[in-house]
Amino acid sequence: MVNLFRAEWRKIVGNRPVALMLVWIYPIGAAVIMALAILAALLSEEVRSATRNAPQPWTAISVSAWSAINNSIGRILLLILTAYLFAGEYQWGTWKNIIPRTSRSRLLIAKFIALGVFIIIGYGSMTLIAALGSIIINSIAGAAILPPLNDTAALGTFARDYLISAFLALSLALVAACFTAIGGMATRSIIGGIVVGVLLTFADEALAGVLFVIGGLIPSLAGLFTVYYFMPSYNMGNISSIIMTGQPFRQFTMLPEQFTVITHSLETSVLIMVIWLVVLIGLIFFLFRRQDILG
Amino acid sequence: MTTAIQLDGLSKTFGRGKRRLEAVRDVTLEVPAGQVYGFLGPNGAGKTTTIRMLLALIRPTQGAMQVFGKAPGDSDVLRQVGSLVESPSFYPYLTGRGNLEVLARTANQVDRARIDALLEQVNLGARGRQKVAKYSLGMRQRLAMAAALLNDPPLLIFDEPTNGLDPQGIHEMRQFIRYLVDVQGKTVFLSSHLLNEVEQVCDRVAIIHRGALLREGNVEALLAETIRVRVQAEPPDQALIAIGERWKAVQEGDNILVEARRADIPEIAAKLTARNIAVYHLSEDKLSLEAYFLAVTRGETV
Repeated sequence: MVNLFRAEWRKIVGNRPVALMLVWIYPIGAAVIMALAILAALLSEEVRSATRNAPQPWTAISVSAWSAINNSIGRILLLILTAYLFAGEYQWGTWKNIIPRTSRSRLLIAKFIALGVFIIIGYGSMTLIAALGSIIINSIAGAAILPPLNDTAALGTFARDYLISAFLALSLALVAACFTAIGGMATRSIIGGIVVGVLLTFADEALAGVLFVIGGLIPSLAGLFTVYYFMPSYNMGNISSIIMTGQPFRQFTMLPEQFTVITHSLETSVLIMVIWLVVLIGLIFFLFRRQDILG
Repeated sequence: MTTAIQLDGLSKTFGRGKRRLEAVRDVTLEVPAGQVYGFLGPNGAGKTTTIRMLLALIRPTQGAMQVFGKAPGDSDVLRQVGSLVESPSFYPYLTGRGNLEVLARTANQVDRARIDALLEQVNLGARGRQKVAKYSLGMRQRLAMAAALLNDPPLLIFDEPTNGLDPQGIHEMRQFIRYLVDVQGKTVFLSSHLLNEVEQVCDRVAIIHRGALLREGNVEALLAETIRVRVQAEPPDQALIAIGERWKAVQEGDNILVEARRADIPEIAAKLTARNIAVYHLSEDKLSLEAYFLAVTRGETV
């Protein structure tokens, strides 16, 4: 499996524009932004003063950086990387070279591992650079470094929050990646994978609004709104909300009476997410194992 | 003798309803180890589909396959097979060497010295560090040959291996295929639509047409199975009538060409002399593989 992973690594890193735009962009982007911020702190008393008055905890900056994976740009880049990994072989006609050399299941596992490693390297390095830059800026400004680097309790809390944020971000990203991988394999093209990934991810997030409108216009169909509580986006939001705030996720604070309000526990939402991931990953393996490679 | 490949009633159908296409129909054959086995057929005959099934790229609709006694896709089998399927495809942004490394890692058999040696062997030693995007079709074909040999497999499956090569390259490729079998003791399953290629290189041949296997056997035996008998006799019109009572025959100048078997020659001579027809010349013309192939694929009795 190590050699299979290294083969996948070579396929991505060997394509420099792709690696730069989809993987290295995160640490490079974070380094550039932090370098500019450091320069501003060095040159401007106003910036130093503002930093002293409201010092940003480096832990918060580092933890919040993980959310970038699920914003619009981060999501699109992730979908492109996934489509490139899973559908690129169709585009280049290279499945016929590699399938006769190992099992299809091992190939897929290696691709999932590579995707995870690229995300962790890209985002992990970005969060570390963001934290380091924040500490440097605070030092330049003469502001307090919050929390202090020798506060072991605070560091413990940071480690916990960091891992939870990474886990939540990666879980939601994995769902989007699965949509894209299925699309890429079904359409046998990178573009097809991206389009399907965007559409399904958008459908997941827009479903609540659509069902809300349908239920509002046709009250007898309001029961359909329940489907929303079983979608990945709601359940990831719920998991995140319960872990971070202790409160269940509420996208809609006021719902007309025809709509049923469901509140999942943390365990239920985790279970629903596990089921989603098992079904999606299982579907990818099922599709690929049965697929005829013609190109 | 060990059997390298065994196909038993292999069939593949694509699509359904009006789009249904029987690409391969009930193909049964055995490829003995240590030979070059030709898989001959016109374009669209089902050669590539059969090869893709052998390489676990396509699932058969029906039938069974074995490679060295095991199902294709079995991990033991994967290590024993090298392949070159249709037009060569590689990661264009990687070098030739980089592509071979990726394939070697995929097979979990990384040997950099072997990669270098193979690049030299296929005359890509100096170009191995160049991106494949800059390779000609012939260079890609040679790189594909190196890729097939990466894990030094005892069985090689080549689908139209001389596509895109210049005449010198074609000659070298054919010599190389014979070398792999005669010197290295490998088995080569070679699909081609080029009759002279199969005739020159192969020990045995299977002829496939419209998805079905028409003939299979040793090349020399297949060609010896049918001969054309050339007859010169006086008077030729009477000779043609006499021969035509039993065999298919045509007059070509002074000669009468008879589609008959070698064993029929004494009977032809007896028939003519019995009718007081003077026989001046009676000889056998062996069919070329091309003539044999055309006769078989046209559905003629040979």
